[in-house]
Amino acid sequence: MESAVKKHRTVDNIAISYTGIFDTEILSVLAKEIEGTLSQDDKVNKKVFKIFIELAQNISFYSLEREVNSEGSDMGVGTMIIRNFDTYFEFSTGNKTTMENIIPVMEKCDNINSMSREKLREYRRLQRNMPAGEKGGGNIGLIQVALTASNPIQYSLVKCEDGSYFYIVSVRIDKDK
Amino acid sequence: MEKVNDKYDFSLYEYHNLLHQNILVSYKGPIDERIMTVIGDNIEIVTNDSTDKARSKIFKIFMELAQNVWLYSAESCTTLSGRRLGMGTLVIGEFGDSYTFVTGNVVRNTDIEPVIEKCEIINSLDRDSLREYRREQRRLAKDGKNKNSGNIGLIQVALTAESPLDIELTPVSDEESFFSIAVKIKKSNSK
Amino acid sequence: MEDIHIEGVHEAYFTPTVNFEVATGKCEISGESYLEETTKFYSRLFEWIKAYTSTIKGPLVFDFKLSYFNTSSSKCLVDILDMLKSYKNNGGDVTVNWYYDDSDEELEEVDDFILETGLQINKIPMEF
Repeated sequence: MESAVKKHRTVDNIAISYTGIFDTEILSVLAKEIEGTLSQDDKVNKKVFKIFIELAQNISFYSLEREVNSEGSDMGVGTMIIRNFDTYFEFSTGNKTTMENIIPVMEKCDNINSMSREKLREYRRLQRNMPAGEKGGGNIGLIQVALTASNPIQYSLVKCEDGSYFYIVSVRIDKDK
Repeated sequence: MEKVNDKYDFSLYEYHNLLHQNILVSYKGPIDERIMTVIGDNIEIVTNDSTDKARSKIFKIFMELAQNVWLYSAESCTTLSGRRLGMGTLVIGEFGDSYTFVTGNVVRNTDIEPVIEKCEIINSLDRDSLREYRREQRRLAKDGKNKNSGNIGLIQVALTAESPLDIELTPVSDEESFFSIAVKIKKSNSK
Repeated sequence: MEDIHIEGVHEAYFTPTVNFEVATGKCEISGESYLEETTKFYSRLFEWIKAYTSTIKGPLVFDFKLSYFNTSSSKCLVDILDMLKSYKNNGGDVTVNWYYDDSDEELEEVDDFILETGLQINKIPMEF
């Protein structure tokens, strides 16, 4: 386990990393605390905060791996990383999921990435007026992330030994926009 | 492992797996009292299959070690309000019937000697001597002679954990090293 | 002299509940102690004890019921015990009850306070 601790150190550019339970109520406090520490730019800080909350929420809702907190609320387990590069921050999240959960999400990402900003905003308005899905705002979450970041959402899927999939989402926040 | 769509030089999957093996909660970043609350709350959730006594020990150890990283890490960042936060790593994992708690942070090589010495002293003492050492250090601190009160915290950690302080030092540059401390706590602790 | 009444708070920091009564000399510190400025918080308690033991000079009954205190707090707690010991040495009527979470480690901590201060402390186990 010490090697895992060292890994944090040796993998480049990781400013913030969290692996564990995604209890969004608790993590919003974390998001608030780290807000000023990555950048001096208010605009960038706001984006970091918003995206943090959205992606944390996605893990909380959609991760296959779950835990129950003391109040009986069930929440997802995953990993979130913020990497700090010269001209941008890169947010990545990873969690276990099933094929059936993920195909619609990948399609959504492809869809989102293909739209202009105008179209994306229209899409968000449309989705917001739809009846809430089982998991509430999950539909809009990714759209919101794309709009806030003003960058495409990149995703990747790794097949795990036990037949599930590990789903990785990444998005960049430019520092000088 | 079949990668369906891979665009990265950095594998979050491998990173996640490395962290996730036996690891319940892992955090790297700035640390202050609110962040400690966040991580502490998460630790509490994942350790709910152990005794109250074990959880109380984990809590005490977590508070002392996390605070040491916050205050003494050589790597830091500043919040918008100008507050300096130490940065480091906190990990809690489980192996069989024990939890392992590890913290890591960068230290200046010039600062590290006294800390290593203290840890070696702590590891060499039996329980009674350790308690005496704590009393002594507390006296010194109150008389203004002990500048670094993080040391009493280390003694406290060793007493609470009932395991030695497992120290590792890895140079990261000419001036700095990465310093980690690991301790074990039995899940079934009833005393 | 005024009483001290502090409501304990558990947020990112933990403030203990403190009740010091001038009329009866009954003093209680309970809850958890993990403070942003430990010495600053405890100075107020030190001042009260100083004032009480030099002007009122009545009996003091101290009840400690702390489920958690960090090492910074432990220094201040020992300071309080030192003051009580001084008062006792000067003829003051002092009773100290320390309630601890029933475990060997907690018992050791109280024993260490006794050894450190030379003060007689009644050790009372309880379930927190």
